[in-house]
Amino acid sequence: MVVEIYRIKFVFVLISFVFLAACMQTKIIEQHAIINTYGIDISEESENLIETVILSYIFDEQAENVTTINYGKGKTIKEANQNAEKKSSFTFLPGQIRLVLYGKETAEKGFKNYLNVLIRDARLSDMMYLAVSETTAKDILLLGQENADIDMGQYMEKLIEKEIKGDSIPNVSLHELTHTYEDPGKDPIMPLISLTDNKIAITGMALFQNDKYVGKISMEDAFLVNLFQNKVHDRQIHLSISREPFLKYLSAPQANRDQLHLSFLIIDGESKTRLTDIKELSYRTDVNLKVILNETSETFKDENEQFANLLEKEVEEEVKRQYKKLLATLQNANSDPLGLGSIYRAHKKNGKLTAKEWHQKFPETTINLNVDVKLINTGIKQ
Amino acid sequence: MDINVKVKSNLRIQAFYLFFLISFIQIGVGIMGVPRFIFKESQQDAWISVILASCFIVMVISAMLFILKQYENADILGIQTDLFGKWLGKLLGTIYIIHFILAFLSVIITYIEVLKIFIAPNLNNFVVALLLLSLVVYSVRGGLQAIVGVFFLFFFLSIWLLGLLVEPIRFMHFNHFQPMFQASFTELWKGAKATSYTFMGFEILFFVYPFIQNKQKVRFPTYLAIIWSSMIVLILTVISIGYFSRDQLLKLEWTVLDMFKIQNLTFIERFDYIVIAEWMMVVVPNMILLMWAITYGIKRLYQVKQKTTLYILAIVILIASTFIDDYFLIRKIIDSVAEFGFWIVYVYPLLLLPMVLIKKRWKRKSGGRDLSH
Repeated sequence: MVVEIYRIKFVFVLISFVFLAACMQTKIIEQHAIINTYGIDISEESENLIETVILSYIFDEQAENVTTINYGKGKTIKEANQNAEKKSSFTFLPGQIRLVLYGKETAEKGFKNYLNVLIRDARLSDMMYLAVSETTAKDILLLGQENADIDMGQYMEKLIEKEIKGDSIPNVSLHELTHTYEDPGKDPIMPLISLTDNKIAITGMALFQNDKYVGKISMEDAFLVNLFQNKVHDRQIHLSISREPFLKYLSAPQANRDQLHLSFLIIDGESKTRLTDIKELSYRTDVNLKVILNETSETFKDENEQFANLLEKEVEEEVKRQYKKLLATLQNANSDPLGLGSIYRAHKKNGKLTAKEWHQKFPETTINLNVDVKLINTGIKQ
Repeated sequence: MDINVKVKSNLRIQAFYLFFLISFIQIGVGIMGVPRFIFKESQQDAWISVILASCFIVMVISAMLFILKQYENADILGIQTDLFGKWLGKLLGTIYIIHFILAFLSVIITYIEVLKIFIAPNLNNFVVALLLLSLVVYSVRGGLQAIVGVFFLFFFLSIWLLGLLVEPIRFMHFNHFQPMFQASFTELWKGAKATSYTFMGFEILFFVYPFIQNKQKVRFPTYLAIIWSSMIVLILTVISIGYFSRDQLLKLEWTVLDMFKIQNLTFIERFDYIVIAEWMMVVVPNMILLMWAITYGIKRLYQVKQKTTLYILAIVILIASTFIDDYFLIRKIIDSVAEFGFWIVYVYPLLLLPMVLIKKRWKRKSGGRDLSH
């Protein structure tokens, strides 16, 4: 009898599962297109019209390609996406967006208004990347898709991910971006994607003042920005230093060359920045690099300790010079991706700072750099 | 109504379980958004506000324990009748019950709102409320001992969520805390007051006290529970200040849930879905205990069968939570619960304490009889 009652209860529970399944709207994957990447441009027709290009995955047996491209125009991004959806037999789902690409013109006008659509929707991941196209987003996505035999959306995502994982550029995820955008003492930075020789590549980083594109820096400089903020491991660095101090070490000095080109592997790199004088806005940054010498453009006859010390010193000077140049570029564009303003805010009396206030002060900041390079070894060759 | 409650010894619980009851009911739904509310008042010094609030709670809970110790086996309803007489006692008891009903309603509508925002915008309020309430009804029918069992199990089933915070900790910026000690005492105090909704729930001690078997051991689990829940709120506040920049923090509705958004593993892309579903294990015990307190209180005050109140109230809440789906209305309900609860939970026990002491002295003078007889 007891067993009987349990059996009835069990059947009841099982039946309830069947009905409960209908409580949520079902989404069948074959009927949906999973948006992977989309690009945002301001339409040529009107300033208020947004044009989006959507790369999405479809899971259809008949489809030759997994990725499809759709375009749409609208006053808001959602409207544009919906208009794009009208030209497709699939329903678009936004939950897997990995990359949002802004056209250059859009970025120049400011990405502020295009950011809230990404934050408002809880279904979107905070780990997606944001990037800027050197031309329009449409150009990159279309041409890229035509030329590349691989899938475009995934390709670009991997491209950016590779650079972040390899410590070449700072993290550019949506979370990091909103974080810096909302931080008055720091400006956002995004990878700049362009088409070179029909290949999509990251050619540098876009500088922003608040939300407006104001300039770009090279990938080499992007690495310096990253080194300024994060710890760096296992990253190649190529430097050109003056050849003159090394003349006596060269095994076969060739004429008409004035620079020595070197490749190092940074094993560990870190930096620390402190505010030394709040009135003068002067900072002191200590950069520590542990490197391995990989390649030299010319051969040396005797790589002794003195040589190593000289090399360290010259590399230190070069890194210092590069940082100085970078700071000048940043101050010229009045964009502070280094986060000097955050340090300033942390030491300010009431701890309050506005972005406007900081952009007035940032061009006057000075950094007293102190680079310490330690050559760990020179490979198996002595 | 008897001042002291006669509870059969087989229905009693060990004092040790108070830890689970109190720490769990304190956490509830409020914690999902609390760092923002504290930060709004005391900025980067928000963590001091949390410590301040916890100290205040320790003070309140000491007062509560002191009041309860004056009686042999009484709950708040009995104590109020003893102090203020039959009618006023009943009125005050009813206010407590209303507070619990409102708290219950705020928990269920907040959780449904979170589900709708984070998981499925087209979720039917009625279905979710029905499912949650059927669990509540089922557990409350089991009595306090079953409820304690639920708390014990769900505590361990949900505690691992804290482990997921490792990822946001990695993204913390420590200069968000600087410059330290900038907030004035008023700001700190306002920040502490902003935690009132989250920390609410320990007033349940006034109701479960008569059910405890070994009363001499009540202090330790109670204080431990307060410290535990304060630690959790403190940790979450510290992480959110470090993880979000200040303007970002002020704009996010569910600060704590947003921190789980960056968590992903190869086999599961979005961990926040799991976190929100898992949060049911935090929400359901809360609702169960509140519902038990309501039905038990009404039985004590008006001699209505617990079963009757349970079913009627479940239906009323079901209807109410089906229709309350407007964001601003939900905010208003939560704010009024917080405001109303602040006086009942945090201020009232401190006012009650001198009255109990005066009454005790007065009785001793006039009759020399113990209060509890």
